Amino acid sequence: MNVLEVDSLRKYFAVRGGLSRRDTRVVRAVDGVSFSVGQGETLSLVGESGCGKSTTARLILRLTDPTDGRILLLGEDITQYRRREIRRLRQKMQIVFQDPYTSLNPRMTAYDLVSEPLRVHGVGSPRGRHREVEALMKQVGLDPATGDRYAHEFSGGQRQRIGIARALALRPALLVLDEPVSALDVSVQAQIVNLLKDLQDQMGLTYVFVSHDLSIVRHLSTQVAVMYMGKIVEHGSVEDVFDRPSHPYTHALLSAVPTAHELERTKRIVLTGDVPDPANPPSGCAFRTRCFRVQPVCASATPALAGVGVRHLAACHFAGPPRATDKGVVPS
Amino acid sequence: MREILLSVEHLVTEFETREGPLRAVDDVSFTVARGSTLGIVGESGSGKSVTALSILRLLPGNSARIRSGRILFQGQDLLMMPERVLRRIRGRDISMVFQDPAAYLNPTLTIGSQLREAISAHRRDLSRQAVEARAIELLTLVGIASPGRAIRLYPHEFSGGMRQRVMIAMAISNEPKLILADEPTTALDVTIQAQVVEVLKNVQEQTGAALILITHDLGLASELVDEVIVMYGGRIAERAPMRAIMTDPRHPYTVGLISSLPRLDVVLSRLPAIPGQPIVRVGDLRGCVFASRCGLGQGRTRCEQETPPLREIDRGRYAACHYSEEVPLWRPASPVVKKTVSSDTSRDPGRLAR
Repeated sequence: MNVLEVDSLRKYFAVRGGLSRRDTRVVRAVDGVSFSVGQGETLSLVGESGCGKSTTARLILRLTDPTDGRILLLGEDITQYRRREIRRLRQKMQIVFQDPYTSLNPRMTAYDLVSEPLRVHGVGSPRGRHREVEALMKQVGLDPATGDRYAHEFSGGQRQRIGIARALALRPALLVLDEPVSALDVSVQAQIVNLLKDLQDQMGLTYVFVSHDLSIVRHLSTQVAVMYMGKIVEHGSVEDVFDRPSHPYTHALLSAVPTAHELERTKRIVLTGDVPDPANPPSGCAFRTRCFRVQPVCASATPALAGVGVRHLAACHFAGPPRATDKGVVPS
Repeated sequence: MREILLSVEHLVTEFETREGPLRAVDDVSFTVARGSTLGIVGESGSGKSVTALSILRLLPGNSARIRSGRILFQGQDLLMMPERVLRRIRGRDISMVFQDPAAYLNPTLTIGSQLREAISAHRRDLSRQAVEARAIELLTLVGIASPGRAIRLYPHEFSGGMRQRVMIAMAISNEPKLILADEPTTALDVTIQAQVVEVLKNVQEQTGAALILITHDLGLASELVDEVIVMYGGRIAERAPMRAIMTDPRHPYTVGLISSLPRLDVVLSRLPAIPGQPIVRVGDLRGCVFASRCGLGQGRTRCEQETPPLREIDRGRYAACHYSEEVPLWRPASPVVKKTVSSDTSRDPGRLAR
């Protein structure tokens, strides 16, 4: 059974545009997103700011209500859950936030922060909780003796360890990781990525990983969904998406990652222009305004997410590996 | 050898804290030749930004103090200069590009008026038409389409990438001899980042200005600069040509920094992290700043007792490590390579395009 299934998920926001109150427009932040994640797997949602990856994460966590679609957690339809039921859901899924500086209450000690979920959900006896907190702290690489220190006394990496211990306290099946290492320094980033991998192996955790950092996504994922303007434009195993990318946007994203390793240096595709206004998306394919394979058909027909390989999907009329006719490829 | 434009000598900058003086920059020396490019790379707290702000004396006056050192720009010591003389150098001879363009643009003024102000602040002799023409010329140079329209827009009507282009246009408006770029692309999305890198590269080549790039991102540095300084704990760990440092680092910290970067072409079972946490320096330093995290030193007494000076270990290569000669032979415990995909053509569209 899949831990998480998402089917045709949509989230539309109404935004007021212009000067008149009646002049409202609809932003399709998440527009028909579907995927499923098996136990012990990591699905990464990647894309640039405004692509809908974080909104998708918030929908899964039921922090915001979907406009349409279904979310199944451990086979159970949670889409219509009310507040009390959502509270119970927290024992099955948890989140690790991006910024360990603002997501931890500065007036609480590390011990209190890790034990809070246990207390709130009334798990175990006080003595049992004490043992549990010490075990959790050890598991994430924190010295339990530092439990009486306040969050601000820890470095960024250690604070993120507290955040992870807190998320794990209720032994959830699913962890949503929202850019968990992007606020950390490189040398510490690697420590946290390794920790997340170890925890997944030890506890059989399932991850939904939201990130803009492709090199970390490559190390942590089993499947990858690339999003652009609310839609998944390419979806497949981590090998398919990174080694056999098919959508022109994926090609561009991969080539834009700055790299320090000489061997890794590749030809770069520099996309022209910016992401279009989400309240006023282009007709047809949303990527066509920046695409180097654009043809007249792209403006009239929206490409469907279709198979380009085994369990490998892309939403492009001209999906496929890099080809000689591609424009916009500049030497690095 | 090109003429020296900037020479930083034994710079020491401290911040007052409740626990005592925090030494953010500790005995940093380097030179920048005319038209050359230098990257200053380090993690948070390494002292890279404080070094840059010290050069322009833009540090918060109440808590920061430059304790000692000299900063010679075209032979003149910027630290000895009266503020009003320095103000003529800032923005004209030395200009800056910051991380967050939104914070440096006035939201109530059009792009055009801010750009015109930047131009005429140091060029009072120009006519209005000449200033206008120059503004349009600059926007064209940084790749803004229809600059005639753009000058009438306000910053909020621009995306982050466009705003950073405007900041770069302002920075080069007076043909500076030196551009200081502090994390110029960190706040931008990766495809926009790639555009801004191209703009910076073109601008540097076309204006012939020297560039100091301050960044945490070695990958970004390798695309823009020829030479790099790696800082750790307020001190220079290593200085070398960009290519050399990536293929043959000579300081254990640089080795750790490079190998902890996740790569797209090699998948490892574990990322080789540097153990421990970045250092915060309060009080006196004894020994090497990196000693507590160093896999090469591993508690050798010399590393704990004696601060290693930055010394020339090869032509044009400097490292601050007692045992830097051992570095090429030493490799930290390397993780299992799951697979290598460097021969794959799919990541090299250009190869097919040619």
